[in-house]
Amino acid sequence: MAAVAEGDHRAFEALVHRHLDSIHGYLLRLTGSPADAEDLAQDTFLRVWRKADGYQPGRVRLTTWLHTIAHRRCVDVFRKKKRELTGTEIPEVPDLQADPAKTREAGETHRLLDLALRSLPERQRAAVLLCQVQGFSNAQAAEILGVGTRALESLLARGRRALRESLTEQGVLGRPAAPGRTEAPGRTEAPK
Amino acid sequence: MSLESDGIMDLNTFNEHLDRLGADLAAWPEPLRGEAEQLVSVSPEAADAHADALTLANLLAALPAAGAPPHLAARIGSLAADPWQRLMDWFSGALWRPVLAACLPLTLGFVIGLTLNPVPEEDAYLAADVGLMAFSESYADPVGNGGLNED
Repeated sequence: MAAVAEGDHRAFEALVHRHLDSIHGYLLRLTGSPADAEDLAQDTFLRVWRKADGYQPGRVRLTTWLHTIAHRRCVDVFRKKKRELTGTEIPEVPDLQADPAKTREAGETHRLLDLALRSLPERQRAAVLLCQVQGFSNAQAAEILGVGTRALESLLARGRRALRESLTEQGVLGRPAAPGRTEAPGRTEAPK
Repeated sequence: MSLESDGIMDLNTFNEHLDRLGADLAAWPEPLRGEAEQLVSVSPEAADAHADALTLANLLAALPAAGAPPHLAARIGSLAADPWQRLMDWFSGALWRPVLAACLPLTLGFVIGLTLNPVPEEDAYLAADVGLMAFSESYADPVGNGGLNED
């Protein structure tokens, strides 16, 4: 990052390659639009290139800083456009090595989960995405969203509750495991 | 025998914490963690709620990443290297830069105005004459009474 701040273009390219997928993935799920996600990811990294000297390594992790910039750009752009972040075009990603039947079933579950995510208000969706998909802690996600930890936990609680209710309605959660039902990846059995 | 009478967290409180803190009980702060683990071990409803929360967390963590389109990294790299873009970046980098950029044409215009459009010689003499007339008594006070009306 120090090299990027000194204008080292190769270091910048390495930074882009290392973090682009993560930032683009976050923006894609937040906006729901591949075109918007591309523009915002590009804008985010160009801003990083310009403002690299503003990064303070001791204060926040680089990924937290990058997601903070990406999130703020996203909110700014959509506030200017005066439209809510409710995209409809998240592309499906086929897993070519998986069993086709299982892939179809998992794809259906992911589609339902994507629909449920999209129906969440923007801030709840961002909180859930940051903590559950991008892997940030509550404190880091709060830093990215520019809110306190308690406010972040409140957003998470409402988001998780809405997702759970939606997926229970769709039959993904809350039913006893019937024959042929897809087990969630890595699901841990609760103690009886 | 109720759970609360045993000093164990009740189901509603457990569900609230589950939504707020997530399905990973190990990440909960003490003493909530101990109370929650105790509740899950004795209450089938709590165990079901915990299982659902874990399933949701695992589904979210397993969402397939679409990955950025291949051309995007190259586009970002070329835009960052673009000299025009760099110039624009330089201007937008600090407050004194746009101020300097605004002052430059102003200064240039002032200099050009002074050097390329001098006042013609005749106009210069005329301006000097008009200036002198203001100090001349006969022009400034033609009646000679200091401008007072004696009626």
